Amino acid sequence: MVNPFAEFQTCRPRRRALPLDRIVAIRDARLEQLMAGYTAYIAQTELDWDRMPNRHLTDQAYEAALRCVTGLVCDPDDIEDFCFSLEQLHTPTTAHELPDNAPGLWGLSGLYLSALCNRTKGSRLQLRLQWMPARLHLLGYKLPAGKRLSIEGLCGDLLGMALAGGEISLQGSAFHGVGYELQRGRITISDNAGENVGQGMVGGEIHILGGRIRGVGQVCGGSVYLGQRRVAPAPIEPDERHTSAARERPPA
Amino acid sequence: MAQTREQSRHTVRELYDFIGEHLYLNRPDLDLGGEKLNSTLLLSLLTALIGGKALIIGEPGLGKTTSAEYIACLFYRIPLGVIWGSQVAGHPEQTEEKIVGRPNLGKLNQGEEQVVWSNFAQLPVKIIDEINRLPETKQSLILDGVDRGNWEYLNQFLLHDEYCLFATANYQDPGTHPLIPPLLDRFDVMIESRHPGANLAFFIGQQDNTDALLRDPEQEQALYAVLSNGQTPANAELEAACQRFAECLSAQHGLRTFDKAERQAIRADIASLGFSQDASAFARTALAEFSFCCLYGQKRSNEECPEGCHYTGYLCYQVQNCASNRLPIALRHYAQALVWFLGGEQVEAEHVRWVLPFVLAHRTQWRDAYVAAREREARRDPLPLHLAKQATAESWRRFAEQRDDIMGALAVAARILAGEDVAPSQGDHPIFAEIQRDLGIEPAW
Repeated sequence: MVNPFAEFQTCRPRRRALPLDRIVAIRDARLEQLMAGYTAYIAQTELDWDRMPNRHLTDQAYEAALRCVTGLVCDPDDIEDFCFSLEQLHTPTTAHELPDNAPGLWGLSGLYLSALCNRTKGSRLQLRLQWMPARLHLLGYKLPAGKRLSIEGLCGDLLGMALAGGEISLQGSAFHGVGYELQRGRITISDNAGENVGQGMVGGEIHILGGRIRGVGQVCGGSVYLGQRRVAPAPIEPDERHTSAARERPPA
Repeated sequence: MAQTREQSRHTVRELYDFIGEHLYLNRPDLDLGGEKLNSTLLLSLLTALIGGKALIIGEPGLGKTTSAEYIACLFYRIPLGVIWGSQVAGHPEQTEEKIVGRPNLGKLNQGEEQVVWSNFAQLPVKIIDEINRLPETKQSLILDGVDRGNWEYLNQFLLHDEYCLFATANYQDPGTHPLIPPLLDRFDVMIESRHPGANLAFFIGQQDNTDALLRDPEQEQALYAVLSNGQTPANAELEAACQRFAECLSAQHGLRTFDKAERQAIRADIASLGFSQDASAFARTALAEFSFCCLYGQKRSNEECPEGCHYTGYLCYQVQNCASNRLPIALRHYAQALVWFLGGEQVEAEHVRWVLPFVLAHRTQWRDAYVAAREREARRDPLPLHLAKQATAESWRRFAEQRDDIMGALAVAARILAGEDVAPSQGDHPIFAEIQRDLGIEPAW
């Protein structure tokens, strides 16, 4: 039979390395490192959710997360990709076994993501959590000034706890304890928030743009707004203001 | 005295320039690696050079026939008056006797059958003017003559060792007929003779009769005398008459032209130019897209691809007919001729890409949906050529993306057929499936 390919017998084509392949390989390697760090972190760290909110416990777990992410090279895109990997790691089947029954795990996940966000060089970060099998807690923990964290989806408890000057923007709703012990910075939530919003906050602002706050905590400083209206500290009513002014007016 | 390749190329370039500057004025519309050329003139010239068959389309009066006449005149050393007298004009009443030959009535009265061949049949270069005014039945009559240049009448044959054909066709009007696909397929290339633009057109209108440049009544009479006996003219006799006209051309215009031996030497030289592996791989890739069908084995003009085919994104889904074996032949000849003309040493993929639209345009029948989607696109070419150029660009893009994989698959296939035990390469393009079919390991569908 005629060999119609005979002229190619001497052909030794080299495989062309596409720039995209190289980029994907780098991203894959980074993602693998992030996943390895996460797996090690949740294996060696515990967070007793029954004792939350507890600043000391949270700090301990956060310090552990920082140790796990030390040395990892990642940019905001890698962190965004990591969220998708997190979805796959905790599949819906697994999530049914763990869901909000294992809040400690989701608290650790949130702290790990917070540590990544706080350590990365990028200033604009995006987390897409719409398809996450459960709500992540403690997102945006100690987010420093100069960083803006945008989140899409539902957040669990203690969003923006101990916020340290950063800005969190959530497209969705958050559960309880938004802005717990918030120091400085701003949290904006497009939908609703749960109980104890701004509990122990000493500065900064929390804006709930949707229709509902289930409950505002004891606010020591800063402001909590529901839409355009400030709800904490409670605004002074006009009559009360008038009375107060009369009381302070010096006698003629 | 035989010319070297470089000298011959120089002569051809001079002829191109002479026609382009004095006889057929038009804009360059091809950019071949930085060199700007006119496609009608270039491909007509290559047709004369290799003895091909060109279909020249265009609006009436835009130089379809005259460009062919000038090139035929200069490349075959035949005075313009003789070219005019040996053309066949397409019209519904055309007969075989007017095209090919007729019985010699004097001899017939004596009981002897002898054919008086027409001037058209006798000359090595032929022009059929307005071929689409021939009805379909008359088109069938000239199929073999167009294909091989062999003419038959009354059990007598006229065989040429040198043959070149130009046919012109206007766009559809009440007096034209569709060209039948077998006739279309016999043409190597299709080109459009375009309007030269208002400025050149005005300039052409100011010129004196340029035909006179290639007329020589004395030589025309001499050549007619050679042809007039209606018998196959002796080569030497015809060549001698042509040689005398060539001397006139040289004396009047300083033009060097080729005799028959030189033309044949050039054709042999062109045919010796090889294809690079890239060029071969690209040609195979494009051919696969115009002939492959995963479902029915190959393209057939009476079968249409079903919706949802895996290969919907490839050209095989958009074409209705199958590429004939004349397509790769024409592609090879014209790509080699182009390389020779441009001064290259071997055919590269780029050359194949430049030539491919012109060998595809008239042969390819597209799906109505594909035509409808593209016919309103901004373009400078007639629709068939535009579609062919777009298709070539698509195929070229896919080849560029998958070049290494395709080359690798072809190399692996070569090793497998040579007896090596290696796994064939996989890929999505139809060429990979075609390779697997050649290796006898096509996956079942």
